[in-house]
Amino acid sequence: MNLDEQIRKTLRENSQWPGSPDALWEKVSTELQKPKRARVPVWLGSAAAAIVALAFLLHTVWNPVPPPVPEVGEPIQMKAFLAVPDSLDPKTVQVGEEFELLVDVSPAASMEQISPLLQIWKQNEEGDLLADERGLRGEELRSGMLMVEAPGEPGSYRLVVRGTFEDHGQWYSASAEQILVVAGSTEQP
Amino acid sequence: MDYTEQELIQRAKQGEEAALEQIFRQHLDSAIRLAYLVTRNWATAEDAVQEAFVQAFRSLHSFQDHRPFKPWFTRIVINKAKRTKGRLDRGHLPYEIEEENRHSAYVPESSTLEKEGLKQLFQAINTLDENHRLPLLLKYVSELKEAEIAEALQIPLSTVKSRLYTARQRLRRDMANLEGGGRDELR
Repeated sequence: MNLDEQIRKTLRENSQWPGSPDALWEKVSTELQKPKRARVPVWLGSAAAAIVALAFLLHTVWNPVPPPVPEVGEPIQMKAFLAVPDSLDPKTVQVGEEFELLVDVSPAASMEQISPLLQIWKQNEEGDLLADERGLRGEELRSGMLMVEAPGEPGSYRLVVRGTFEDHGQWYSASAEQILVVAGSTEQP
Repeated sequence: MDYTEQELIQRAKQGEEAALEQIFRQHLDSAIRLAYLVTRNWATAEDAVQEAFVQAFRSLHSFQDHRPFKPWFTRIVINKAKRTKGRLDRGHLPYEIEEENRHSAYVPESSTLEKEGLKQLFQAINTLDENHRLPLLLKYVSELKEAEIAEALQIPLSTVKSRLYTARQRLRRDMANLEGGGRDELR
């Protein structure tokens, strides 16, 4: 037996199928009767990706991101300083005591310039009475913490801060409102 | 009634199930053997052949009548078998290589000595790389001519000839080495 015959014979002997042609035909026939699976063409995926990319590009062109607020070099905390004063909770201090008043400092929404003021209103039954008023400087406000001396007379007061100030070329508005209860003996030693 | 291959394909194209079944039975034997020799697993070979027939029959409308059916269909079988084997090799399906075809043990015409030689030859064929093994399988299992092997594998005819020549040389050499080794052991 030459090599060709040997190859043919060994391949034939080592590939004797134990299965049934009828059973396999049944499977093929059943499969052929099923509706052909819908195939998504390859180009459809590329087209969808292109449409998404185009939509993103157009969206970017038509809705540009607003330019960032120009950097002015110095403290970032000044640009958006937010203090949430607990203005509705009365603060109790002693007569003449120095205390810290939290001031809300944020970039000015308009170009209107208002000189910053601290007003101290005394609350009584007839209505509020302006007890004291003083002008404020930007340096006092920039940290968001204003040092205030309590009135010399016990009672209930409403402190109001309003105004704008400039810092490194950027305008900020300052605002605060605080109910203050000044405690202390009215009796002189 | 016997039809020529072209007549059968014409009828199959018109959806005649009997024609499809006749084509199936004509090509099943070589297809299933080829798929098994590629995948080395009967269950996956059956799956590959089933898929190949379904694809071939569904694509019959694109098949040109004047061309021979077997090389075209064999190419589909090879692709399906390779793809299934690839899925198995990547571990996507449970797979166990059936090292020895137990059904061959019952073939009566081989003597014990001859059988041993054929077993060694089969092992030598399995050690050939795919480029040399596939043309060999198509020639001796699918009984394709060299030009048809070239068409099925989509390679030049000269490459088919060269690969078949190299494959046979390697098998001759391997068998000679085995026989020599056997004699050495006997001495």
